[in-house]
Amino acid sequence: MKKIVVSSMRRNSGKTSIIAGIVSLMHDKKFAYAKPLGDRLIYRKKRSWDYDASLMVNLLGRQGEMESHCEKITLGFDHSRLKYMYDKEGIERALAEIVTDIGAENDVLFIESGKDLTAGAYLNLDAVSMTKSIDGVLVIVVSGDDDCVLDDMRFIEKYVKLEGVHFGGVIINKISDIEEFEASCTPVIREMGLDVIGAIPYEEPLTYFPLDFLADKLLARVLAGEEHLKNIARTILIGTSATFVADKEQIPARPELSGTGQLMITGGDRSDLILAALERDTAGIILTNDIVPHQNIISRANERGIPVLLVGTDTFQTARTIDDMEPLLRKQDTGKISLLSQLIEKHTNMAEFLK
Amino acid sequence: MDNTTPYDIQYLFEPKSIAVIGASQNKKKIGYAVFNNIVSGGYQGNVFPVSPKGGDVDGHKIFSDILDIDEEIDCASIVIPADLVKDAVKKCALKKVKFLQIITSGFSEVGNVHEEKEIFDIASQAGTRIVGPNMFGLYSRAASLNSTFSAAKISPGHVAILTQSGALGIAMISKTAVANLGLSAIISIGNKCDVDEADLLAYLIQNDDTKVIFIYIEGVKKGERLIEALKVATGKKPVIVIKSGKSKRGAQAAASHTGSLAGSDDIFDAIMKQCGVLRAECLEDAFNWCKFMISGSAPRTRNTVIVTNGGGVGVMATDACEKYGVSLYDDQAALRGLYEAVTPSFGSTKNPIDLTGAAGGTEYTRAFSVTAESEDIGSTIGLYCETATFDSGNLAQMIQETYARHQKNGKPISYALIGGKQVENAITALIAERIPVFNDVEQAVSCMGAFYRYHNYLDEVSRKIDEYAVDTAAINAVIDRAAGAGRTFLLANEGAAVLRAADIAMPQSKIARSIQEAVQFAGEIGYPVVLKVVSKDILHKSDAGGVLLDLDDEKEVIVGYEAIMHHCRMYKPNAVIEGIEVAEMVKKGIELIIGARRDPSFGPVIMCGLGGIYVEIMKDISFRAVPINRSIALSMLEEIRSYPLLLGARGEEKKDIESVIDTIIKIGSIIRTCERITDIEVNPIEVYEAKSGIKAVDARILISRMKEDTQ
Repeated sequence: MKKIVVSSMRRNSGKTSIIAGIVSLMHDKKFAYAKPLGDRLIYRKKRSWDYDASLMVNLLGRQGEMESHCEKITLGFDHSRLKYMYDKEGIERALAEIVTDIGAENDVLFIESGKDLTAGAYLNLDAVSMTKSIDGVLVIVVSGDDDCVLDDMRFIEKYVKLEGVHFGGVIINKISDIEEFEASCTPVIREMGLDVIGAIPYEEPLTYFPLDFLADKLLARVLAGEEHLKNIARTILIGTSATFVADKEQIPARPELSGTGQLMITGGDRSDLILAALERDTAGIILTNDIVPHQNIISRANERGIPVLLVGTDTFQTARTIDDMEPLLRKQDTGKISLLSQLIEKHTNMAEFLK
Repeated sequence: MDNTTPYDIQYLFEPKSIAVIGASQNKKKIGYAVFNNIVSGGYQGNVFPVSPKGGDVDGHKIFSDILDIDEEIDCASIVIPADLVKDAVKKCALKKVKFLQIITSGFSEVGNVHEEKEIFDIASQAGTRIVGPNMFGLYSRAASLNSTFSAAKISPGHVAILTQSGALGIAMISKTAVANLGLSAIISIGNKCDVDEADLLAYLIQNDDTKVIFIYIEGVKKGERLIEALKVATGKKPVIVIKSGKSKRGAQAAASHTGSLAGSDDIFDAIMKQCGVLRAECLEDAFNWCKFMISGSAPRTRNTVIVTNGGGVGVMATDACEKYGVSLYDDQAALRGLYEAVTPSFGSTKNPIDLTGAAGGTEYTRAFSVTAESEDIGSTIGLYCETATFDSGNLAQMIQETYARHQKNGKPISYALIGGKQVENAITALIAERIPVFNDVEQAVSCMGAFYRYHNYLDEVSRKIDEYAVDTAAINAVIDRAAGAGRTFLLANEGAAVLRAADIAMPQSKIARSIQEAVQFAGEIGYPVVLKVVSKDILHKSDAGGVLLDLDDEKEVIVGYEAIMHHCRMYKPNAVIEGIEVAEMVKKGIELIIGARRDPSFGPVIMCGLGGIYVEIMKDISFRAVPINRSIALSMLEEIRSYPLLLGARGEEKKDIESVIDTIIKIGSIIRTCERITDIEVNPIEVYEAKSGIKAVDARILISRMKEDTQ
């Protein structure tokens, strides 16, 4: 069994997405997953779950394993709890049990680190310590602009590689211009002597919000178009000001306001904006301030198959909440998962790496 | 006199001498009307007109200055322009006038608060008391004194009227004349800069001419004084109140009208009930009740009988009896025995006693004689529908005779007469004789209802006060800490400490500052437990994911502690988290709310009702002014619609009502003894089965900003 610890230099680099792409690509292998130091806590049925761990267990089809081993898959989130429950030897033992109990009878065990390379260091739950502890292979995901990637790569070359761990290589993720990167950065990285497992381009569709995801996160009431909640919001229009004229003639004249898959956020009393949105290729409408529009508008939305969500917060707060949201991957986001598989297949030599 | 001892209010109503400052020879002026009313009304004391113009009025020499009068002046009526009032008050103070009636307006009711205060200060330094400003004078039967500027003649009688509205008061004088409602006194209180309702009640309570007191009130300034005065007054004679400013809009009009703020109507209504005051909705009801109350003595039984010649009005009266709380005599066998002989065979001896449309004067007289004489019957409602078989010309005589018979036996009776001109003539004639007849069933029954409400109050009222010895030192220490931190509210654990200082059962709880402590405390308290974040920065704990319920073991506490810390940091990253409260998981009972607040008008009041998260929607609550006793606390519970839940609805066991009463008394004692607490809300209070106690789950307590504010 190959034991791979996946970490990243910075938060939100795409560790979970990459693992998800790998497991959905390689059906010939059996995978196991654990995330000892959780960072996205979900409290349900008097248990705490890590969001990423929950997603991966679902993708791997091992929900039963999650039920029985949830405290092994994620040991904890906060230092206070982990310190209370484990001493140094206890952490070693818990990591060993992950290998034996969760990893057993699998070809590959992925252990995802906390949010970045240093998270959990105080408790020996950082990526390097875990790699040493389980005698695994460390893979680091880097992402960001070209400068940021080069900085991170140099840092790894100078410090991480020297720690004596089995360093498997790096995956460079979310590269905005892959050709430019190949031309300017790849030679420099080669000089550093770091193994690059893959260089994955940035794909905007991975950042889109499905309407059902927004409905769930905003605790919204669905007023219309429930069967179209899989619609994807590609761009967001915020209709707050009276100076914004939601005229059918004017919106297409402004390129930033046109295009398909728009999400309109506006007050429930702005029937002018809502009606304009309903006549266009709109992915969905979020109505704010708990104001339910006229029944005719709801009927029209149902006719057009455009989901209309109702939230209690005002337009500014709603927009800010969405702006702060991470487009977290979900099991049902099959389009995104399929895209991730394609990216892994096309832009990495993961198949070779896992041999 | 010693300035600290106020003059007896009797000097206001029964002065030996009165000066009219602003007396005028011009008959169109108020200064003349007041002087003329005093003189022509038969006042036997000395009257001194005062005006700088001098001369004489109706043969009386006008003094140019009150200081020129050699004799002692008990009372002065001031009827001069507002800008001259201050000088006049200075001179009255020098003259040691005991009471001033300041009729002049233009003070706090139009925003001129400062000058009103100056006038009050000048007078009070000399011990001189002020009624008004902005009042219309007074009438006192005891002194045959009419110092009002009313045009109507006031007929002497037994009703005393206190009114905050001058114009309405003047109109009421005319209306009482039309209704033939004789007065023992009428006085308008105006802006109440000094003398208020409580002062005036002190006189009317001991005034033998006054049998009923009617108060028109717009706003209450010194509510606690008024409550005490009303309690004493209602112990002696009925008090009827109309309070305007019930609606929000009405309250605003009242504020601009009198310079006084109308209080919350719910609280006012509850406190009036608590004091035994009868609250009328309109002047007509108030006058009707006054008329009826004058003649009524205490009922011997609560059994009322309706005598009618029409089934329809009988049913209307029966409905009205239920509405106004009049109990109908229901012993069918006894009723048959009493009325069979006087009721035709096709009539009914069930209450209402239906004499049928064939009944004439003789049948009515015989039936009323039974009600007047029977020991089992306490009062009668007589109904008459005009018929051809009864000569309506004889109606008045029949009623005079039957009324006299009831009066002789000390039994109240009210009549509703419905018909045409002859019936209306009879009503007019009977009103002239002050017999309680009405042209509407509702009015006749409403009077009887008011009569019984008053006497029921007298039967049940107790002056006993139940209080709990609260540990005020412990509460003050909690408040000091919160005030020291610049807060005007107490944190959950501080609120719990306040309730514990009054021995109110709270779930056991401790504040844990680590997982170790949380696990230790949960073990000590016993599972299941509740975890709640404690942070002054997170008031809505549930919204922040800061509350977890029903945690059954150590593992769940560990996970829960971590989850709360995690959620709260996400909710408000900069929040200072003092710890996590580990509390006993309270088992479900009937959820009540008990609260108390320092009302700006009435001082400390207590509230109880159906609790939980729907308090605002259900609004099933009752109020009382504190202090109270256990019986009043019980009456608060009986008043709420949800009371049957406490008695055990749908086969459930009766709940621990005694513990609820204890808690009401304790919270009342906290608000009374801890002056820095402005509001307490304990919600929910879980009430368990009888003898199983209660648990107060959460307490929100507000405190005043500064200690000095209330000391």
